[in-house]
Amino acid sequence: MSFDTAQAVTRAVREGRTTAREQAQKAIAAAKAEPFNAFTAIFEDEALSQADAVDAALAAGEDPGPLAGAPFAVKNLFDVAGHTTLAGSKIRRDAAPASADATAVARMKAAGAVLVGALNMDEFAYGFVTENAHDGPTRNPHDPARIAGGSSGGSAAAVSGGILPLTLGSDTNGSIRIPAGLCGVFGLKPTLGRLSRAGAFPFVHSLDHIGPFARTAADLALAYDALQGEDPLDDLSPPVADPLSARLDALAEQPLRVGVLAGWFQQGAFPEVVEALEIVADALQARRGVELPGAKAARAAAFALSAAEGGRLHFDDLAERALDYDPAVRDRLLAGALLPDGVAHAARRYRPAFRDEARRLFEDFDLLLAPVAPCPAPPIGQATMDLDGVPVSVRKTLGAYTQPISYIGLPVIAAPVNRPGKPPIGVQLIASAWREDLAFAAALRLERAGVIAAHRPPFRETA
Amino acid sequence: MSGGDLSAFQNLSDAKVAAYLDSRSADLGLRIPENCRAGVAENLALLRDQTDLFCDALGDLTDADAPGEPFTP
Repeated sequence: MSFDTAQAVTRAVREGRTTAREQAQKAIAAAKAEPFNAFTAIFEDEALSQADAVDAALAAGEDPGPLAGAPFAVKNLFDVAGHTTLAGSKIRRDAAPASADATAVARMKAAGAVLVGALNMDEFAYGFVTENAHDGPTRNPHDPARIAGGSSGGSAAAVSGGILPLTLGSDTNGSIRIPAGLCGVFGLKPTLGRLSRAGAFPFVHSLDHIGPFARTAADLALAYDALQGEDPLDDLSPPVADPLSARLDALAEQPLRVGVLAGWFQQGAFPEVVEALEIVADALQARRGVELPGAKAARAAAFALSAAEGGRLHFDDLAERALDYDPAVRDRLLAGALLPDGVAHAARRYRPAFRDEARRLFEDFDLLLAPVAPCPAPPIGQATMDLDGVPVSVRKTLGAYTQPISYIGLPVIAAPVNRPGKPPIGVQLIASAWREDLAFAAALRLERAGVIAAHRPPFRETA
Repeated sequence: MSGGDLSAFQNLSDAKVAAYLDSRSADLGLRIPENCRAGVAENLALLRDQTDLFCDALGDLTDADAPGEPFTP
């Protein structure tokens, strides 16, 4: 295991204190031995070959890129050339291997990062727990009896557990933010359309995002910069890259007007979640009690739109092989497939109305705060949890605070509140559309002030 | 009732969800395995409740024939 940052690894590789091959070998060994069930595949030969190419470029005096020699892995819904894209499923195990890397994978490699493997997830990204019926549950590195969150649970656990400094995941309703929060690492869900989704297996086309995980805000920015840029393969037309890594110091000093979302965004939150949010709010001198009207309805619309679009996407496979799906996902997709068309239509029509409510708030604030999830990581296998004294489904409820935000595509960094020795709790740093820089400004300021931090899992420190 | 009718779906009673499941799956040609029926019905009831929530918030915007704007964040 290594808790070196990607920045530190890259610097050491460039200065000749280590090689990309040595770093890849360390990451491969860690991935083979990891106890979290985060990995579903390890690409050993390809990783060593990529690492050798990085070392050769450096030896020839060439620049292998800003992530030179940094190992990374991806949620197994990203296409990796020569490998079947499983998306956490059984039914795709016989699918043809991908003919090319997903745009995000190709960009990380082009920046010098070395792809080590693929990571566990909820089947077809439909869930918040990564208790995959086919591949088993991913365990939270801070407490292996608890979930890592999902659907990008393997991506969060691999970073949290010190297997790798960087991973990629996807977020439709909270699937980057929730595992990042529950595993105590940083995760970025960018503005809808900012980062190319080409080559990432879809779940809900209207709501799908991709993004990175890291243990520091600076590493998150490095990966974000590598992933940016136009891509004709994505119909959302990602814009020209706007790199942030060269101006992190300036961002950390930027004044911010910050508000704390109340109402729906704290309803049912556990006391420790509210306490953690208050720590961050104090540090940013945030105004309390900010209401975002319509959040409950927005969450409901995202919930229904996901079922409707997901059910439609999987209709043919559901008709032929329903029993080969993960039971926890299958029943939700089947119900979605049976919805009248008007449900998805109405769910889409509410988006601009709710977006405009959020835009009005951003006239007064640069950044909004909300918890990532109502609670710390629940135990693996726990089906229900109490929310305001009412038993509710864990799988369907963990995203209550994330779904309204992804529904309107706002950029968010999920940041780990600095609570050493306690279960991780994350806070959402929410900016207006296309202003990822403001979410990074807050993350950098909070990290430098010691308010947020990704801790090593406690049982690793004593190992 | 027509399986594609939004307001009829919203007005389903709990007792009528199973009948909706049967008629809609027959209309679509999507067979629901017997051991999935209870789970699918439970999810349909939840989706009905959620649909009610955002349709209430939409108010007059629920007109199915109204043109929708392409969404930008």
